Amino acid sequence: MGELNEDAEILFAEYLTEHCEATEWAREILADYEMTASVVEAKTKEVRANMVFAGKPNILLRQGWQPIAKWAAVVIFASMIGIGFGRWSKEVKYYSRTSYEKTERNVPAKRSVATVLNEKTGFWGKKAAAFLEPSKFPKRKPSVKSSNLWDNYRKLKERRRE
Amino acid sequence: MPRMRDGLKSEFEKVWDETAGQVRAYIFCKCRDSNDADDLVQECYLRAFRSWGQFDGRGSRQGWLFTIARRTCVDWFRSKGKSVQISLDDPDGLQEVVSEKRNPDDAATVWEMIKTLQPEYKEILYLRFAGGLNYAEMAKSLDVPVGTVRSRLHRGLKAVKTKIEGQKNGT
Repeated sequence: MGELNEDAEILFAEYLTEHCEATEWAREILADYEMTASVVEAKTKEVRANMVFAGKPNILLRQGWQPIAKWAAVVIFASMIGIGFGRWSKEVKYYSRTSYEKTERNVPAKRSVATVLNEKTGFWGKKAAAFLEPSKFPKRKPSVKSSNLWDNYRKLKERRRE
Repeated sequence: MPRMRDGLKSEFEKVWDETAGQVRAYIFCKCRDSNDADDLVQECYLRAFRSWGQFDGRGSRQGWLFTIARRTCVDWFRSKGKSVQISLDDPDGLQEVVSEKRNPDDAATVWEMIKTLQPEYKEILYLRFAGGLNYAEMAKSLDVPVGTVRSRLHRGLKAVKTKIEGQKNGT
């Protein structure tokens, strides 16, 4: 039956030569094998030869479009669900804008600082106006303090003597 | 990606050219109708193409294909509501052959007798003679040891011969 390698086939042939009953038995089996093989081959000969049918091209074409179509269907279905939920969701309340209407603010006209201060009659207002006016008295230069503590002590003593 | 697809396509076409005839013959033996065999062959190769990368490389691609073909036929039989197993105890099939008093040496008679064999014997005969698989490929396809394949083939041939002799003797 073609299943033995060369060495096994040689050994098997020698065995059959030595044992006649085994030869007869093998011949019967071979006859059954060949008969069955010929019957099946005869019945399937036409089927095996007649391979003209549109099988091969369509398989690859179906395989090429199927994944794309599947994903497109999934995306469309998910979109439909999202749109459906969106349309059926509660309406968003928008607060009325009447409370946020622009109110006119009374912005006074721009005036000078001096004019504003002259109108003030309180203590601090007069104080601020006086501060803004130029000083009548020369400004005293700030005393230059020595960093030496002994010099500062001597100056203080001279001042007290005077 | 297009390059991988071209390589897969060419490999698939090569396997198609080498095995499609045998797969179709095997499926025809099981369903006994050429139109159904065409549909099942397309389904078989479509399944094979989808799971092309799942082939683990053990054994031949041909044996793997016949495994898919056998499962495709089983699914088809289930969908049609037909029983896959036509056992030896089924009297209708055998009686139909005997009652017509056919010539036991006629190929058509032997063909019908094969149909009445036990499922495991039929499977082996179809894989061997229609599919052209060797012992190792049949064992891989059926997931049985090689020794089991040999014994089933031997018993299947013996069963066919017993039926023929029974037909000749009129029993």
